Amino acid sequence: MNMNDHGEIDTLISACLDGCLSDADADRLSRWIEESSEVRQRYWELASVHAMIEQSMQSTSMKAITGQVVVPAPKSGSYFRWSRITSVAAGILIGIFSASMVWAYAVPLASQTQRVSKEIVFESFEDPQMKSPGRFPTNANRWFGGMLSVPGKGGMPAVEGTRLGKFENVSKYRFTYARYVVDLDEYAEPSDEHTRSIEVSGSFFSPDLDPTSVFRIDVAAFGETPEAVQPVWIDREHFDDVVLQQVGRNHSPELSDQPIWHEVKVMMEIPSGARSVVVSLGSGKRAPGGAGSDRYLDAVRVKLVDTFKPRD
Amino acid sequence: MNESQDEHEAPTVTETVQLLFVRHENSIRSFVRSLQPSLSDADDVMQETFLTISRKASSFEPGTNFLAWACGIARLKVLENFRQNKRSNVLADTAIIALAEDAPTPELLIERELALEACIEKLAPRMRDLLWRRYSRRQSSVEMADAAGMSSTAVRVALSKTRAMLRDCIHAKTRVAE
Repeated sequence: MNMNDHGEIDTLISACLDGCLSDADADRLSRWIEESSEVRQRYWELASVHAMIEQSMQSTSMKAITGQVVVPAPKSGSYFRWSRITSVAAGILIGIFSASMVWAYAVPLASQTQRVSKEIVFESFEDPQMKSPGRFPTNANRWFGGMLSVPGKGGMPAVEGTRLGKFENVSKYRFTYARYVVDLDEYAEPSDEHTRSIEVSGSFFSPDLDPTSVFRIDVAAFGETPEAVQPVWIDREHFDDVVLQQVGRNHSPELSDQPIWHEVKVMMEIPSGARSVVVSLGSGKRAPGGAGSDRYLDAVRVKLVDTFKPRD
Repeated sequence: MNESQDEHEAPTVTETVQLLFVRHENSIRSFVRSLQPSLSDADDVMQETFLTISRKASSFEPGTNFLAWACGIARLKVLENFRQNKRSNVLADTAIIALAEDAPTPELLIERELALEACIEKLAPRMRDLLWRRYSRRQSSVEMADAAGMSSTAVRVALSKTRAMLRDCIHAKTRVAE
């Protein structure tokens, strides 16, 4: 078998996995599979990739991979049929099913792992049509705050992909933010022996920093649904009574000859009873006044981190 | 029923095996989907496998490799399913049998699963977007082509290349791990 055959075989296997083999190609691939262990090995390598991607994409929030809007996979009828058939075990099974669906490829070793991290949001602002209306999120799984997607360029290359997010420059605000709400109900709860934290990181850039420049990340947990967080957030008088947990980090970048990307990271344990977590990534100045400058954001990652803490 | 009594009742053999099935469900499903391109057929195979392992629970020896045992049953169910649902444009029975006999070990599949996440993260955003459309939204190549501004042929080629890149990445990672 030569390299050209490899390419053709891979193409046929791919077509087979996508269900678009012609009759003639199905015959040809079948023959090769029967005759060659090398072809069988190539089949398994590609087919297992295909199956594993499907598993992970079906079972994990799509935010984890692409930053796109979550579209829940159609529920496989089989789970429900099973649970009807096995009514005796159903009570035990349901909880474990949901856990196994989210932690798709961590499950087999989860019980032995001290720390399991799962990326649930990745945003590199690649969509030129991206719209992030309003200052504060009114629902989960979408960016708010007036971010624009702009192409990277010389001296300001994107950290991930080819584009980056530009903070809207609004002179009346000292800080501008990109905000996002995570709906924790979309993820299976950690086991009793794990505590869950949320980790947020993002890279900030400004071509003309001054000594008062600040980049910041805030994370705040609420018991309210994502849709109900906005009024709580706006009501600053009662905010402290309602927020379950809040962590913020200011990063004052050191001035350098050449502007560089600054990565900022924050981690917060999620308290029990939390339903929504607000993630804010902001850029601004410690002191009011002065001309506003362009600020950029890229490679935003939000991860759920489950840490093993055995009970006494 | 008294709740506290129920909590302390030891699971039956069948329940234990069913729990093991649930714990390893992702790996078993990956195995089945590798052989069965049709999603609905794969669902049927998973259901049949679950019923069979429940029925044959007593033949599983605790302490032995459950995943290997379950995949062995799943393999037979895939073959049964192929025989029952004669479809056109699919691999011949003999090819499926040959593949099933050369299946990677469940341990190897788990090893690949663990490497996949890091490999997906290395992909360019455009490729991740294609995977998301194909595997999460279940878009056809025509729908994906419309969304991505590509021809459907280009979409199929790009998907094929993306899977090949992931395969190579996983291969490299698992080889390093060895």
